[in-house]
Amino acid sequence: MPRILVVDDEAHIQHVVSLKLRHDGMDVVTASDGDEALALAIEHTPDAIVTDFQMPGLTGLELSAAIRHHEALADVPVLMLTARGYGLTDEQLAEHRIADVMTKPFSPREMLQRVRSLLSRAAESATTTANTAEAERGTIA
Amino acid sequence: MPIDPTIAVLAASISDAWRQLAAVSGLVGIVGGGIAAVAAWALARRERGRAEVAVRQMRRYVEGRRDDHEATPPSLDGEHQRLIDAITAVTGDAIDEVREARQIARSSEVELGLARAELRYLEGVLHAISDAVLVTDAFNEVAVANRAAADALAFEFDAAGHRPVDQIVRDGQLARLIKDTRDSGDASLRRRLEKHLTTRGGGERVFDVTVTSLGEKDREHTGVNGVVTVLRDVTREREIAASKSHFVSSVSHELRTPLSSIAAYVEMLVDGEAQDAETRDEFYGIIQAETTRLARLIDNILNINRIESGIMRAQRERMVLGPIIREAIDVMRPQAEAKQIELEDHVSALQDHVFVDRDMMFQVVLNLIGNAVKYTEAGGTVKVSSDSDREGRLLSVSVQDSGVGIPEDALPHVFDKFYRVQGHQKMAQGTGLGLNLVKHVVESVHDGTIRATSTPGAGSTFTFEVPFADNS
Repeated sequence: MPRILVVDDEAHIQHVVSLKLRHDGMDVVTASDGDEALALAIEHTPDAIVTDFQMPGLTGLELSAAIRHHEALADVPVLMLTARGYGLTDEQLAEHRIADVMTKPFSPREMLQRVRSLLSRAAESATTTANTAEAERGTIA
Repeated sequence: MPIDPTIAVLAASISDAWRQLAAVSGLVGIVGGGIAAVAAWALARRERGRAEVAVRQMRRYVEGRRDDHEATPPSLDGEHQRLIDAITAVTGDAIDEVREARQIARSSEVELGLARAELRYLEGVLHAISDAVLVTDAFNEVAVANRAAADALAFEFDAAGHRPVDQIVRDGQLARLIKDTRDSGDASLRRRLEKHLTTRGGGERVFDVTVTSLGEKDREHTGVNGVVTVLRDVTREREIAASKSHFVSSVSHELRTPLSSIAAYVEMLVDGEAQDAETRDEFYGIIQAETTRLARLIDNILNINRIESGIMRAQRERMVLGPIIREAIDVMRPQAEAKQIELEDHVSALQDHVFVDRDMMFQVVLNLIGNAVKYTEAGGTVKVSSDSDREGRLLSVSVQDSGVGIPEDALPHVFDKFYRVQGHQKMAQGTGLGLNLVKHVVESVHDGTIRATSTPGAGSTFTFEVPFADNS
């Protein structure tokens, strides 16, 4: 069962996102600000993170950058929900390792699709990495 | 060669006649010299007696002609007639020239007077212009400037005349632009730029600067004779534009939050994600609450906008504020009790009148008590009090709570639009507009003041003051 960390300071948004993911059989951990989210990410090692951009403590961008300092979280995909008008650039998103962005108001249905696709991409790249590692070991042997 | 004394007398008398005529004119020296020369020629003929007669006649004629332009010259024969004709011609010309010179002098004086009046008028116009105007000449020296220019560019107005432009304009870029415009040789050059300048008062202001070349006075030359620099202070316009753009982006963000919830829950219901009646009710409840929040947000935005743009008309009347404060306390009591917060009434028994809009004042007190209850944990207290200031001119109303308090760095911003103290958002919902509306109502509508003090962790106090109504 994939584990997802959902971060939003708006209780209703946090609730609706969690519910949609849970109904799809995912295990959800929730946080209401950036700092709490970082602590929970370290504790639970989620497979993906769905986070708000503007919230108390770390922003969604900062959270995504901060988790990379932890080896176990280095490749966790982050989907960020944001309101238009912040003027975020593609460079900023890439620099902070944001895998995908959705603009509010958003469709929970589409959000679920995007989380699924992030998870399957992460799984693929993990398999590739594992295969490569195995192949390398084979060569050495 | 010795000169005959009689001839000398004659010459002297002719000169004397001329001097009289010359009293008003500088020309006479020259003319007199010419006449003396002609006379000398006549005297050389040593025709003394006839000459004397001729001179007497001539003198009469000249004296006559001074007043009578059409006087006929005396009629004589031969050499004397020629002499007289010559003297007459020279004299006539001289008199005409003197007359002309006098006229020129008179009209020059009039023109000078007019020019001076025109200059004073133009100076008046220049000083009346609120934009800063600085005119530099072909040598890049200050020709004319107004006081607004002295303020904007921070120079000494009285000592600016003929000073080089780079001593007056301290901003290197602007001074260079003025010189470049002068050096361009293009008489129809106009450049615009925006400049942040430190003005005489020490404050930084934003100016829209126009630098225009001034064509040569002589039309045959097309060079640049000077440069006119005009600085328009656009600081306020820029501030308004920035605040508007900030407001629009804040509003759209704030509206989007409840809208996101509504849209998401509606989709959940459509997709059948609410499997039981209880969950469906929960979703409907959320949608309803968020719709109400959206409506309240829009109301607050419109009210603030109406007050800011002066559309909202306050209906101010003389009244005692006490009962209005008590009414607000009564409205808030159930909410306070539900949170086990003690709502204390210390409202003064003062019967002095204030001049206020009843509904707006009620809303102010209600907002302040509502905030206090929101940000105070269960078991706390909220004290509402009112009193007169020492001079008896102001009524002050305070709402003091024992709540979470406001961090020092957040305190100056609590009345800002859409500002919400970080970390407090979780405690209660808010639009970030309530206190902004309160400030507007107290300060813009009622000429009062409002302030907030706080000790983080121990509580906050919001106090507003409004003037008592005149006793008349």
